[in-house]
Amino acid sequence: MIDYSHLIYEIVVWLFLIYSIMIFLIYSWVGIYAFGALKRYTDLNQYTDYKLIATNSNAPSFSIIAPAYNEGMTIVDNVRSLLSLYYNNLEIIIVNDGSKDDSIEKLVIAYNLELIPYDLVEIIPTKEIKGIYRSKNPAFKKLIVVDKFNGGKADALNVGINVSKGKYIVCIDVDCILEQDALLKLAKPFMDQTDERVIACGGVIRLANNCKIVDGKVVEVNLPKKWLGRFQALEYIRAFVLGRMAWSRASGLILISGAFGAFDKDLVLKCGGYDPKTVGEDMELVVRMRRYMEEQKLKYKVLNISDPLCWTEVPESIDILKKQRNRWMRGTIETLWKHRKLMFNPKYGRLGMVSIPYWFFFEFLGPLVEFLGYCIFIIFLLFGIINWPFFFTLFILVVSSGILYSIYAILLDLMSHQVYTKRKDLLILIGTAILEPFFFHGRVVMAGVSGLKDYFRKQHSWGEMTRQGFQQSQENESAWSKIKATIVWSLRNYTPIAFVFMLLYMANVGLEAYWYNTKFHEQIYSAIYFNLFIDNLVFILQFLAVCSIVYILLVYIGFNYLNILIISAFSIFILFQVILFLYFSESQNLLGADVFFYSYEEIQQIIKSSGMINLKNIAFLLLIILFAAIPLTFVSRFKSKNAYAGATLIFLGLILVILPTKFTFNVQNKSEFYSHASISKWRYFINTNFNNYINDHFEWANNWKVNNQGNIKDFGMYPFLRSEDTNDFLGSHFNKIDRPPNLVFLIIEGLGNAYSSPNGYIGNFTPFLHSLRDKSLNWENCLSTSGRTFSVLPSILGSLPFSRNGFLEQNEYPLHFNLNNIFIHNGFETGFFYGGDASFDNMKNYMEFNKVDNLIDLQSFKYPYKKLPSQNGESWGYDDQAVLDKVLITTLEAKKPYMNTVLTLSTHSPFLINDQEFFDKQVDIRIKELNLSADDAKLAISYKKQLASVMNIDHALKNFFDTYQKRADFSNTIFVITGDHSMPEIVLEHKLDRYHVPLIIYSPLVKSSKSFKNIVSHYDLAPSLMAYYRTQYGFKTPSQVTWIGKGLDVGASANGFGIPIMQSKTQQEDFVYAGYHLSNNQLYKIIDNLSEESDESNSTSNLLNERFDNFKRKNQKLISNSALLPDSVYHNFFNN
Amino acid sequence: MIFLKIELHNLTLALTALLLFVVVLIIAVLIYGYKNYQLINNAQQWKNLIEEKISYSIFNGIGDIQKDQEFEKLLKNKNFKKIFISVLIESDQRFVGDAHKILKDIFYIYKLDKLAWEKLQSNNIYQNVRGIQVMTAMNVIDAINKITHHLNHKNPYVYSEAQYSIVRLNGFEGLKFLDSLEKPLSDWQQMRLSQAIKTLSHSDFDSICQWLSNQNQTVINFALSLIRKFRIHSIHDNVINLLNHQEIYVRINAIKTLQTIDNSTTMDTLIEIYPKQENLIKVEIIKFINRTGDKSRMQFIKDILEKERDIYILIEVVNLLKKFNDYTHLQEKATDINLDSKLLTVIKNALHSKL
Repeated sequence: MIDYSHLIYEIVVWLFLIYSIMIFLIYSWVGIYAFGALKRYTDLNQYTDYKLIATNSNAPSFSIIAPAYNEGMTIVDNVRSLLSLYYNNLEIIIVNDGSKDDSIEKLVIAYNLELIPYDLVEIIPTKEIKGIYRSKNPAFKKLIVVDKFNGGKADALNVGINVSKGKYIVCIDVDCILEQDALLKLAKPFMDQTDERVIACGGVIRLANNCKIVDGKVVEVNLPKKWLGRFQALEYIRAFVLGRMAWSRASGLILISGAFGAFDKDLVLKCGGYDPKTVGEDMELVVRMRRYMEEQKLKYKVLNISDPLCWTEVPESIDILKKQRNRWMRGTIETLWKHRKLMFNPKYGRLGMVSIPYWFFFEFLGPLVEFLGYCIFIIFLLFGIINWPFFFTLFILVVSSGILYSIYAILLDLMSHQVYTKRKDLLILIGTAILEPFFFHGRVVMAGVSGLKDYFRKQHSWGEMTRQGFQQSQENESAWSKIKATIVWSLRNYTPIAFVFMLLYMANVGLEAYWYNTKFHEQIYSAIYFNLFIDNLVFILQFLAVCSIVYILLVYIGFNYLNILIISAFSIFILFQVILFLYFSESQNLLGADVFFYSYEEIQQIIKSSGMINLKNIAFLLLIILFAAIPLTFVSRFKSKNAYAGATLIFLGLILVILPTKFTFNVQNKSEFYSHASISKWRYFINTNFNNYINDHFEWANNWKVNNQGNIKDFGMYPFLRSEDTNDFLGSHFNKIDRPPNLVFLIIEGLGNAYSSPNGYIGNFTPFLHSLRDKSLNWENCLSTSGRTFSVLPSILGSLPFSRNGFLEQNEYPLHFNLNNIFIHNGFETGFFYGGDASFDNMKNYMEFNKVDNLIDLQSFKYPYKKLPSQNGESWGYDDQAVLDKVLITTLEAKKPYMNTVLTLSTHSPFLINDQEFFDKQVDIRIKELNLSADDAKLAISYKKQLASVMNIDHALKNFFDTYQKRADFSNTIFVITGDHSMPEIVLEHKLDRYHVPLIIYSPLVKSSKSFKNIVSHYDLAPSLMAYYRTQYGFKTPSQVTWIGKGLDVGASANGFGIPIMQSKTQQEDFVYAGYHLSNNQLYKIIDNLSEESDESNSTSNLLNERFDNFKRKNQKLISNSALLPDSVYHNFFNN
Repeated sequence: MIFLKIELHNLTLALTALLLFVVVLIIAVLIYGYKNYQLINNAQQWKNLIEEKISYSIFNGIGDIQKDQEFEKLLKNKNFKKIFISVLIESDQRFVGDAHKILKDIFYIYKLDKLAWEKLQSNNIYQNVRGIQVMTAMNVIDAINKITHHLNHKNPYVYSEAQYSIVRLNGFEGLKFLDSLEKPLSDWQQMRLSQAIKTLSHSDFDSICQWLSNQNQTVINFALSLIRKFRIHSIHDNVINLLNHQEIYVRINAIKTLQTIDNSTTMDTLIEIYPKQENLIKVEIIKFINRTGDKSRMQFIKDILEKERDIYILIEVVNLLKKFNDYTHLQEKATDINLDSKLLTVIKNALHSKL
């Protein structure tokens, strides 16, 4: 998880870097392209004789439309300024948009207006017109004043369009000051068109603040006095001189400023005029016009000319500026959303493939990404994970690039138009360019973010509010209509969320695959990715289909907080998806229903000890929730146009639920890791929990399932009960002494054969254990009975079955025989030694049930014993050195022969040990000693942490035996050394590697060392040891037992029962018998060193299946009856 | 992802290199900006100086300025020469007759013709355009061949400027290129060319008639604009033929042109073709009647009011009736209960204006 959060950190940094690089490249392109556009325009129009248009009767007619709302203070002067424009074929339409002041009265008086009958054709629907005025004075014949009810700027412009007679319309803000030749210059591009129709044209807008204005004309240009104005002056230069010119040249312009822009009226009418529902009506209209032209497959251009034609006052108050930028952002979002169909749609050419994506990714997302960057910077700062040299370099680079861009814009402006030519103004502008990133840019970004916030707050309601509307419409409808309406409404609401959720889920799958590639890149191959993707896709479609049904039902019953519920549930689902695959990648175990077999305290201990609870990881998890919740919340505001998409999604999902088709490759012949890596972790989690729930709560279903798996055979009440007839296999290998020898089980946590044996594929990292093999009986092919620790004690001590979720998980243990109670019965002192809390996995319960004499666990240790290093203050318990020392001390004081069971701890995840550095070095030394190939050495190094812990226990065992050998009781003690299972964190070559553990019986009593190659298991230990003590030392042992194993000489051979294996507390899929391994219904032939190859033999498969099923039926009996043997058998033995 | 394998240290180094590059660029832009600022300031001073010299020469003859050593010195500066050329082009429209002759003398005395030729023969389109402009302004007849060559230039700016230049230099003869012109003439270009033609002779009418049947629709429109400008009545029938042209805008232009050259048959022809035309053409025909003020077509107008449904046509018709003072018919129409509400509003407006 820590590595994972580091990965996320790197991904975040790179995403921002890539985004910055994209911006850098785009702005570089804009700079270069704008230079060309400006040069072309200025060079080619330098000697244009605009007077030609001014006087020519063939010049196109223009209608200026200027909406006015409460402009009474300035409107008379503004209109006078418009009337002084040089253009013959012109009408000026002032639309008084229901002003509350005396605008209309002032105009009537100033221009001698009279109400006239006007033949108006309302092509675009608008608010009602009160009256249309024209002047009685012929000097003002160009002027038309329309008085209407208030409807907003777009509505007023639409009225103007309806009233206008010109071929082209020029929409302006009434308070703008136009250059007198503005229309001449604006008309030229329209007159210049040939093959491509010019549909809209804009000019450069400049700031009028602090300029000297006489009679509605700018006579002296000055920079604004206030810095806020200057920043905006710079912004306008960048936007108009660079941005718009470049996009105009590239035929990608989609914004003609609402303050001043000319449009082809015919096309505007065809497109329906301005949209009064949007606040960004200027941009929206241009996009709609372009969209129309693309759909009609007509050639067209949207142009911007670089002449400064219009002067406008910009806000010099920060509050007004914020409102303005807020509105611009809302306008952008509205337009992008309204025309979302265009996004990356090749049908719309450059508009769909370049312009709209550019606006989405850089104009809309730009401020949001920047804001997110600030947030992430603060998070990184709090976590102290900022690399300051990198940060400062990047920061200075970003700021410098911004300054460069601004200065470049000033230079081009100077070269092309020379608006600001005074040296002082230029120097101030350069100073402004330097200060702008620090004092202005951030405010604009924040205004943009608040625009986004307002967009949702004001324009859209939460689902439950929409719901009220839906319910109201359903009243008085028939039941069927209501159901139908419910389904359609639900599907339309559900579809956007479902699709985004699916995208997020699949994006996470991509992350999962990437993470596996990073962590296990040498082992993973393409089929895994394919399977992972397909299995998850199928799963999420199935899941969404099921969820849709729940959703529809909740809508039907009128659940009020549906959106909140679904967003929360889906966000948590995504979070848990990450947790599930991280759990797998860390432990190589799939998390299933077994998670519920741990108590709250146990889970707490596991999580704390793993070091996962830290601020960084919590923040990381919160980040994932945000990552899911934000887009889900965003999309929850919208409905799909119809229910078809949702219906298709659900239909597909339900078909996949019903059809048993498998779409993935078979990777079963590889190791378990591959098959587990390639499946949906969520599917596994749900499946195991579902099955477990059924098993727990519907006993009949379980019995039915088991009993329908083959020929029903009645095993009686106690199917595991049998006569004790185990051969004394061990006796011949030991020297006999005059008293029964002590017995010590050393069960090493996670000790797999792969790294503790000369034939292990990782290498032998237990040199001391290996040295013991020369004096021991050694089983090379021993199997544990589970993939986790939970079954090791019942298997070794009692050769016991699993019951439902492991023998120790039972609330009450059924009476049975095991080494503990039999040894106690034969006068031995027994003990259990564990460095952690023995309550874990109910080990303490079991030992107390067996009445062991010495139960040593966490509570029994004190200083100076050392705990394992803690992560975040939580440690699994005391180190192995401490545990083994306790064994030495306790046995020294023993007054009777003893039988002890020791379970070590250090080789458990997170593999933290005391003296880590020393053992890390030992691993390096060992790798050299083993003379591994380069690849093998690389593989070993990748598990350094785990191998260091293995070398630690090996070292601890050496010290333990060194001390023991000096004691008198050593000579009459038998040590059984084995592992509880192999570490899942270390890669498995074959399925059985998970269970392949060493088994060494070491004792000074061993006559001669010997290695056995037959397959045995932990089940075989208790029978063989019991037979040995009974035969050699006259132990009283029961005549009837419930051992699964038949002894170390029989093991998994055809004479035995076979070895059932449970991987986790809910996974019972493996069975080994007579040289074959049945795993999840797939048969494998076991060859040398427990490696495997797929086998298709039906008869063998049937045989193993039958035996495995028999075991399961017997186990089911145990679950049903909660008894292994009659009480009388048990009590008779102990009472006699 | 290969990115994640790049060490942060290396990334920092790469960003530092990029930062240095950006800083160098900032310095370069500042230096370049400063030089441009100086150039712009100089340009304004030079421009004033040149204009002063030109004015002086026009009034006092060219001799004195030739003695100005400072001015001579400046002429060695390429930027100064550029400004000089610009001033000459700008002065072209301001001076005529002898004054323009002085300009030409200055042009040759200071060997600016050499620079103009260089520009004309350059491979840079902006230089070509500038070269053509100065040759046109200075009326350099020797440059006609080269400019004619530019008529076939692939760049629209160059060939458009060449078209204008050749017409300026050769008059109507210069329009010969229209005979084989395949590329469209923009409205702007048509306006410039039309403005450049000052006079026409009868012999030119044949060419105009020929252009009326040109495949290039913009050539037809240009020819119509010439007919309008010079009111060439003799081509009336050729224009009438255009009323069958497939392109609606050619027909509209033809009707507009007929307004300037109409005769006794024009109206009948238009009324005859009326029923089969698109609404836009119908509106133009009604406007034509409006401008002629021919009341004899009253019944035709009233029929339109009964038959047509297009509001734009109806507005024109009502306005026409209003112009002809036929309020009685409008009042009768206003009482029709089946009348479209939009038309009723238009009629009421017309009746209201009478009051």
